[in-house]
Amino acid sequence: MNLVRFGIRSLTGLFAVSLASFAIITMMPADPVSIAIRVWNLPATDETVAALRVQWGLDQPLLPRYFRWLANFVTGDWGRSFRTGESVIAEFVERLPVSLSLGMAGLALAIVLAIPLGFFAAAYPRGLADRFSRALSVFVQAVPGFWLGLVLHWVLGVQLRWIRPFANDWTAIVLPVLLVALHSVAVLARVYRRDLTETAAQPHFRTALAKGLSERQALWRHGHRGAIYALLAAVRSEAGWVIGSTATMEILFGLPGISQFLVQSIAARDQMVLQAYVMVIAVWMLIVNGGAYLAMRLLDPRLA
Amino acid sequence: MLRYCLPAALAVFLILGGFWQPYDPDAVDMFARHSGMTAEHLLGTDHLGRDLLSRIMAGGSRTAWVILSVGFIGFTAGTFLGTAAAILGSWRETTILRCCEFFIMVPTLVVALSAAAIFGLSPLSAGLALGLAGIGPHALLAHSLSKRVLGQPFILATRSLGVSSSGMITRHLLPNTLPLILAYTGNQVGLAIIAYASLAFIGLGADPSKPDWGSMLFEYRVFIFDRPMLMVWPGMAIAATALCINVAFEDCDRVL
Amino acid sequence: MPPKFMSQLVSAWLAAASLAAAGTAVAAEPLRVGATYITSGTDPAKGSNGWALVSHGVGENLFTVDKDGRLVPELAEKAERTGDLTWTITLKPGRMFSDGTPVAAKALAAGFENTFVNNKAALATGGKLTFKAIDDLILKVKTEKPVPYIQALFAEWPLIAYKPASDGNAVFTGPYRIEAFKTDASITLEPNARFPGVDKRSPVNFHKFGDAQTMTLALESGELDLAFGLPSEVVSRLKASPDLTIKSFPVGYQYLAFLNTARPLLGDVKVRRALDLAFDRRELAAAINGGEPASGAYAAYFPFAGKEARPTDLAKAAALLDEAGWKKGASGMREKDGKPLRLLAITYPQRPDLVTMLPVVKAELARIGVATDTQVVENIQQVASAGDFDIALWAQHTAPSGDPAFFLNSMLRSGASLNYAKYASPEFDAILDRFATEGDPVKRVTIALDAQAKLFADAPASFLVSPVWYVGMSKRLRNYEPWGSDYHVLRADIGEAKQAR
Repeated sequence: MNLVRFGIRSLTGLFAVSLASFAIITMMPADPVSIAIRVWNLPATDETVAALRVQWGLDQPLLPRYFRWLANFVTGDWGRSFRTGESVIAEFVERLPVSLSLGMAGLALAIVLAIPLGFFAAAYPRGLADRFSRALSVFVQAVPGFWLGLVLHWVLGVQLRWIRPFANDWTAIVLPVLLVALHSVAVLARVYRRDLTETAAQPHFRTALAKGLSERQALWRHGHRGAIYALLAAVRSEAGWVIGSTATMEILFGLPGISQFLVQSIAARDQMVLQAYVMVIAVWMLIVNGGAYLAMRLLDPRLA
Repeated sequence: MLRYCLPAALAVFLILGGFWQPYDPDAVDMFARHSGMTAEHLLGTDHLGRDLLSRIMAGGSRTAWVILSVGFIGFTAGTFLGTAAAILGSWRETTILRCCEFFIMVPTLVVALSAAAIFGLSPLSAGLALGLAGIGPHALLAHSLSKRVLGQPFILATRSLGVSSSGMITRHLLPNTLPLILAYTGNQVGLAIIAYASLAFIGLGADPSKPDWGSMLFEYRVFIFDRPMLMVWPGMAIAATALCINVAFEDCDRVL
Repeated sequence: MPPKFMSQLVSAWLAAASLAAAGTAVAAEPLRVGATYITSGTDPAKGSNGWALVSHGVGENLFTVDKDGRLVPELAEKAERTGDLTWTITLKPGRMFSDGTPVAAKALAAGFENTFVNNKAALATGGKLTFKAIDDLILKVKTEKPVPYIQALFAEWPLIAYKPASDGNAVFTGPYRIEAFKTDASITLEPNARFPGVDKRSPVNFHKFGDAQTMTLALESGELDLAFGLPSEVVSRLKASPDLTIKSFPVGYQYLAFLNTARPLLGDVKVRRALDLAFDRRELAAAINGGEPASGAYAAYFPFAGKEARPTDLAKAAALLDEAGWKKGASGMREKDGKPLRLLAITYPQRPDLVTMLPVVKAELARIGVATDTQVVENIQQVASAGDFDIALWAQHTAPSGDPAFFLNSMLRSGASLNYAKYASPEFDAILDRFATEGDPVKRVTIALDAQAKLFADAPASFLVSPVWYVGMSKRLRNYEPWGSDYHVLRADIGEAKQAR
């Protein structure tokens, strides 16, 4: 029942996002017909203009146009890019793997790193791990990832030559993945730590200690599950930040992902690309959200 | 003491930067390129002989506009919607909350990126977009805080004493929720500073000669080898501003 | 899931995602070449792909300009005029397309006809050409307008020679053939086995960088064997590195500013001339660390170039603006009827020098009280043809076929497809008409100078700097000699050093 409701709510959300973005994007001060005529070298006669307007439904009011677009979008016709002349969906299919691997790998790495960091921070309050994770969270709140990227780029790639930032192999993506992960590591580790510490203050935890478990064992056995739950909840809000940093990293490192494509296309007033971009990001957020939700249900069956 | 002095100094610097800079931030002087830190140019000049301090100050006032609009829009609209939802209850509460959840479906930076794509990047467009995108999370927070306060016994007591609902809101509800919301606003504004710098760095639809800190970093990244200070100063400006704002608002919930 | 396994999984997954561009396994270690541009597609008739594919070493022309600026035969052997509008072109025997079929007149004719239908830039000199293959090596050409010297026409960049293939693709003749192509990112080239000396050439990975600075970092970190078009500000640092060789060379490109005559503010010739006088070309050249103030439409080494650097005169510029009714307001900026004189200047990131020049232009215009907004756009051709600009900083090779006419005909003649300044002057067109009938190079110089004088008077474009460019090479390509601007970056004689491996 809950799952069905989650699904319905997500779909209505997508619907609302698409309608809102469609309405705003049509406010863009550019006439798609005149762009198409110029870019595709079509004859600029009155008949062509009129024909294109009818073909694209530009003569109709907003709502019918929107539903027409929606029908096309759902059936995989996302229009043609003004800049490249290719169909938008083909361009996205080609570039999405880069963006997705960057974002998902960053998020996965962040979770993998945040758990040990948060655990040791909780197990040894004011210890090394605790101080480090606190400093890290202050640091990532103040220092933009792209600036750090520039500095690391130069230090690791040029001075020390530890990484090969522009090679055509998997090392090219290591630095951006690390940078995407960094912010989330800090946030998630703090969330994980806070939840563990709260558990440690509860009476049933004292009982566990009395039964002869060491503090660390007790934390892991009795606190880990709940803390993971809290961490997954935080992942849902962190996903937005991850997608944002993915966009900056694509620009900084010249990775051919969807955000780079958007930036390259937008000077051509490529409305179809912008619309598709917003939709793809919304779906992406939804999938992360749904994944975290499912994982949380597995951890805590009471939700189901 | 330092905790209050630093943010105050920052505010003075940002406001001053809007009205006065030692030099015209756009003026080119080919004879004074890469001057280094001198008495005339406190932070030195860039590859075209433009005064770095003037550019950072001009960029500061642009950032200040973003800070103000993001903070104002997110805080006022978020608090209003969230509190209203909590008090009104029933279907109106659900509607408001659903709407706010839709807001969260698209990441803040992507909302701002799209706005920059459509309207061009300026402090105003970025501030509006980031601010509007911040209404959703603000409202959700305000709602859950208000619910918690409304559920407490003393509220029931005041109600039974016949205190008017407006009096209840201003005297009992808001004083309990505002400090936390304000602290959250501070955190969001800190993120907005970084988001605006990222947008300017990406440069979508921006005027590159406008001295935004992010676009300065983009322009000066070539010189990281020979003139690292060109990269360091704008980076420091971003980090210091974000840090100051976080520190200042962290205290809100303690002071109020 | 244990973290170690997780990270292995992640890296394998990433490798699969990012390796798509690397192509199939190759025998020799490929040369890694970086530049800030790449062909926008493999269709040779579209946009400027003809130029890019020749530059990538994929395609050739019938005639070409060699290292010393001479017009020489490439796929053709000779061209003879048989009538006012008709020519006979003889092809070199024994040349082959990369698919192993001989370069026959019929195949080339089909390719050229496709180009003339689909690319308006091809029409600039001779109008629409028609072709007829007489036998395998003889091609008859009929031009729409009389062309005095068809060799130069066939050296123009749109007229790349190719055989159209069934699926919208094409087969070429150059020293390399396309193995894989990824839009905006990379092109993988294999030595073309049908081009002589195949065993001396290595495969090439040609990588497009979003900006020249990233490319510089890649060169420094040892990721590139050749970086074409380095930003000038990094040159002194790179020269200190023992692993790198840096060379500079003068190019046929000119940096210029198109002044959009169709915009309300710049429709007034006085305002345009004031802008032309306000540009301080020495300062602009200093800002990009190299090059000479422009003397006109052509680089100084061409015989048809102007003799004196274009003048800068702020007092005269101010007087012209006063005359045009733009008076200095209280803030020192000019205005008319309360409306400020505010212009939009645009340029594009693929030529980093232009991006450096943009704020200097803004500062220079501020000196005569003109306010400027600036913008850097990714796809300048689309934005410029839409006309949404006042000033467009532009880099253009103004004599790509060693002849002055093509640039003027294709970019400044009334109604020309690349006339971004929307300049329309019957007198100027009349000067250009004289090119069509004049075959004597000396007299063509006079025509070119007349045309330039007319441009100086009307100022639809302001010529700024004749630049030098820089290339950086690893030890493996240290013998690479840059020439011909960026029209022949990859070539058969790329000069790879014997590898000590």
